[in-house]
Amino acid sequence: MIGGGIGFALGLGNGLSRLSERLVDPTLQMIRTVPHLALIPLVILWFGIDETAKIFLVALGVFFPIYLNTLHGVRTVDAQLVEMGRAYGMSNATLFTKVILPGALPSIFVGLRYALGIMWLTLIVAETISASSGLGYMAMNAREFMMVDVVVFAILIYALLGKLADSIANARAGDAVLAPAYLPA
Amino acid sequence: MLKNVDLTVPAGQFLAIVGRSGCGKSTLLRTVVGLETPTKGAVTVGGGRAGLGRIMFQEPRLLPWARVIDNVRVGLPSSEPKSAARAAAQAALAQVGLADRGGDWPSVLSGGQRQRVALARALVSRPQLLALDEPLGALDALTRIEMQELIENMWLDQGFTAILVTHDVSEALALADRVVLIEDGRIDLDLTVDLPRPRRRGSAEIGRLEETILDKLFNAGGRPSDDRPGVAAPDAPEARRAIA
Repeated sequence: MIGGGIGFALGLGNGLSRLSERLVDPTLQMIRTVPHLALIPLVILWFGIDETAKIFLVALGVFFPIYLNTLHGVRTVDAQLVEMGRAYGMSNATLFTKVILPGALPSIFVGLRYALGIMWLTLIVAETISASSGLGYMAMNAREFMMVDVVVFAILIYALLGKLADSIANARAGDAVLAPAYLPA
Repeated sequence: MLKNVDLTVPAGQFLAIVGRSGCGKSTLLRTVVGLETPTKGAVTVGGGRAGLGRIMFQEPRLLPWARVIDNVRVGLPSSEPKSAARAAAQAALAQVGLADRGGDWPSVLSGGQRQRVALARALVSRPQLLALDEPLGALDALTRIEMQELIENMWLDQGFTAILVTHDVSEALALADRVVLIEDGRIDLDLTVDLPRPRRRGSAEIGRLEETILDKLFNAGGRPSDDRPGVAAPDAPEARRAIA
C-alpha cells in the first residue's frame, strides 16, 4: 500500500511534468537496478526482524512496477484525445480526470498485478531469512528438522495465495472497471 | 508553413479550404480554433481572440471510456448544471439521429455513427464557429454523402460560421458558399459559389467550378494541363477521383 501509493503518485507526477521527471527519474532508475532483496542484511541492521523491516522491503519492491507502469500509462495516453480535450476547453483538472487517468488505467492495473507478485516474493523471502513467525519462518523451521511435508505444504499455500491475489487484481482490472469501454465492437 | 494569409470570413458563411496534402490548410484551421499559435500576426473570431470555435477532427476522437451521451457532454462547459447538460446532450444526439444510442459505448458504433456523435459534441454548445478538419475523409462514399447533408442541414438550422478543410473539391462545392484554394502557404484562388441549395450533385455549374479549381490546382503545381487526367497528383487521390 505504501509503496504502491508513492509509486502511483510519482508516476503520475513524472508523467505529467517533464521537470519533475528530469529531477526524480534518474535517481529512481538507479535505485531500481539494485535488487531490493540484496538490502536484507542492511534492513535487518536498521529495523531488526519485525514488521517494519518487512513493510520497508515490500514497499520498495512494490514501488517500481507501479511507478513505471503509471508513468508509461500517462505517457501513452492518446495524444489526439488530449488535444481534443484542450480544443474543447477542458481545464487541466478536468483533462486529468476525464482523459488522462482513464487512459492510463489499463497500464496502471498491469503495474498492480506485477506489484502483487513482487509483494509475495519479497514478503516470503523476508520471512524466510529474517522473521520470528509466519509461513516462511515455518518452512525454514521445517527444513531444519527435515520435515519435507511441511515445506511442500508451505509452498502450496504460497501458490494458492499468489493465484488468489492475482485473480482478484485481474478481475478488478479486467471486468469491473475497464471491460465495458474496451469491448471489441 | 503559411505566409501572409489574410482571410476574412463573414459570420454565417460556409467556407471551404482546399489544397494539396501538406499545403498548410489544416494548420490554418488549427490556428483559427487556437490549437496552434501563429508565429506572426493574429486570428480574431467574433471580435475576440481565437478559441471560441469548436473543431471536428478527421477521427471522431471520442473517449472510449465514456458513454455516447457523456461524450457529447464534453462539448459543454463544465459549469453547466448536470440536468441541463444531459438534456442539451440528448437534444444534440437527437439532431444527428442517434437519440436512442446515448447509453452505448462508442466502440459499438459504426464509423459514421461515431462521426455523428463527434458532430453532436461539436455543436451541443451552439458555437459561433465550427471548424471541420476533413471530418468525412475516413468515411465510405455513401455515409459521406449522408454526413454532408447532415452538416449542411445543421448549418442552415443553426447559422454558425463553418470552415471546412478538405481535399475533395466536389465536397467543397457541394457544401460551401466560398472556396479558397491554398497553394505554397498562400491563398491562390478565392471563389464564391453562388448556387441554390440543396445542390444537385454533378450539375453543370458545379462541374464547371470544379474544372476551374482543379485547373488552378494542377497548373500551380507546374504540371502541364493536357496530361492532367493521366498523371494526377499521387498525393491528391480525391482530386483524381473527382476528375474521373
